[in-house]
Amino acid sequence: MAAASSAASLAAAVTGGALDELVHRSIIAPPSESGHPGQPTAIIVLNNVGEDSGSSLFLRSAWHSASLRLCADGGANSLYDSLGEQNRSLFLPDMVVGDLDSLRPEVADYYRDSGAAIVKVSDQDRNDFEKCLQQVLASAGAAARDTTVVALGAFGGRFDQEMAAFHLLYQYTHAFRRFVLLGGGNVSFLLLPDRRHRIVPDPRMEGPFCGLLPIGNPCGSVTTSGLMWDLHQQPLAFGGRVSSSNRIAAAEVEVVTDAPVVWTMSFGAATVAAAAATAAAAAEAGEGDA
Amino acid sequence: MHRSLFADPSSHPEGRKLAVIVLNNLGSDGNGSKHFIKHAWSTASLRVCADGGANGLYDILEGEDRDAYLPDVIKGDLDSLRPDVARYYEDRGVNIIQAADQDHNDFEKCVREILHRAGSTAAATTLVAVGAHGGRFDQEMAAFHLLHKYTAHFEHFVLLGNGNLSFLLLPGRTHRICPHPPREGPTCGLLPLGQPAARVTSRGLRWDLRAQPLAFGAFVSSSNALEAREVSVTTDAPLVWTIEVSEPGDEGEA
Repeated sequence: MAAASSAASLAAAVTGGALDELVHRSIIAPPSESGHPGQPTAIIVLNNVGEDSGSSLFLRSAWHSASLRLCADGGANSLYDSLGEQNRSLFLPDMVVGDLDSLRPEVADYYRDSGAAIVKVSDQDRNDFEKCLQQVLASAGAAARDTTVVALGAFGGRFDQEMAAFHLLYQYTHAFRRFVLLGGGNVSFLLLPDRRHRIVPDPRMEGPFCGLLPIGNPCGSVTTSGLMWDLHQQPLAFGGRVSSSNRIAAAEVEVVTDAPVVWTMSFGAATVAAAAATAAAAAEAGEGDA
Repeated sequence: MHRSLFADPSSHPEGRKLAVIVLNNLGSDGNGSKHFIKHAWSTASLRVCADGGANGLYDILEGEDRDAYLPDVIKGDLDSLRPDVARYYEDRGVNIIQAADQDHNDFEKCVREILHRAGSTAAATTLVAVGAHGGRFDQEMAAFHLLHKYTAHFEHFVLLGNGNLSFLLLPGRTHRICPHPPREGPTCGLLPLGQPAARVTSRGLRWDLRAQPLAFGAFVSSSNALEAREVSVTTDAPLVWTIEVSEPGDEGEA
């Protein structure tokens, strides 16, 4: 298969040998399509859940088949508010976890009455998001390595909290099968250096904009295929070069890296539509010139 | 010394210049960006819109006197600039420069335009980019990449937007940060964005750091808080300072 052979040559270019492969299918793909029924999904709802199309679609596609649904303290307020009266009974969390200094009383009552456990965890060294990750680890046990964790509402709002979410990506990605941040028109996850990554976006909702961001550390060598501007053993570093405003140009994107690097892509119908409109206008202008 | 953007302008020393770049995500933080633009515009020596930032400027000034807040330049590949916005500003003498350079995004083209125009006065210039936070994450990170690349060229280079204010602390000096409550803070953070720092020391925060290593995956300082009028920080590697910014009160505070 063309994709496999190009991925193999990518791996050979970097390491001279074969690498394990990790496939990152779209997190809005229903479990039946992903072909991996044994891979549970845990959902953590954070503060900045909005009414954007991507978040709504994710909730509808993944909530009911998830193995665990947690709200990180004020994430419960966001979930309650963004769903509204019509829909909040359709998306009930299993637990609300955190120091509970943000959770509104009426939200706590609603979810408690619906059967959710409201769990106060007072730990000054961990934020509420991390407390939820600890809960996922405790609940999943040995199955953590097969679990996909999706944190909804990770983007926007306070920048230090957004960066704290990425800190947790760096800290916990190795503990799960996949760990994905979602929200505000973005989906991001960390690519580790010990494997070949195949990213399979859903073109209805994901992309085309994307980037590779050396958020925690510079990378000495990153190689890709499937992007508009592919990288060939490219060093990446803030202040040096970062890959932003790149575009997905194939059904699959492959990445090999020598150090952890963040993959991000736009998420939501609006970005897909806007990019298509710009491309159509440019094509029309091009025809006019000829 | 990092004097707050929100302090009284008359307290700023003579000879300091202000340049403003308007980026894409203006609308997402309520009135915060609009308020800064209105107060800074007349004292700024150079005001540049990065392509679609002109749409944002035009839109947030709906119902106000747009002619009082004209940019000097609109620059970029111009694939976002709306025709009605372009016409409006063109008719009023705004210079619209199309730069089709694939190696630099529109924000960077504007930074380079300002460096070119400022010449040797860049070292005494505070550059503020409004609309830098929120929106597409790769673009937000591209803004921080530009902080790494260009902070040393200016006296200060600050990102503002969506309730956040951020700038880069370079190694080799003690940084004295003077925030302006209640507009700024109390929540703040120190973020080793791009590379770890081996030793960071701070004074004036609720959880001060003492020769602390900071790194994504190991330890970052988030959800920290101001505890003194002045915060001082030393670091051995570039480090992002970020602080929350709230909207001005109804009293119309400057």
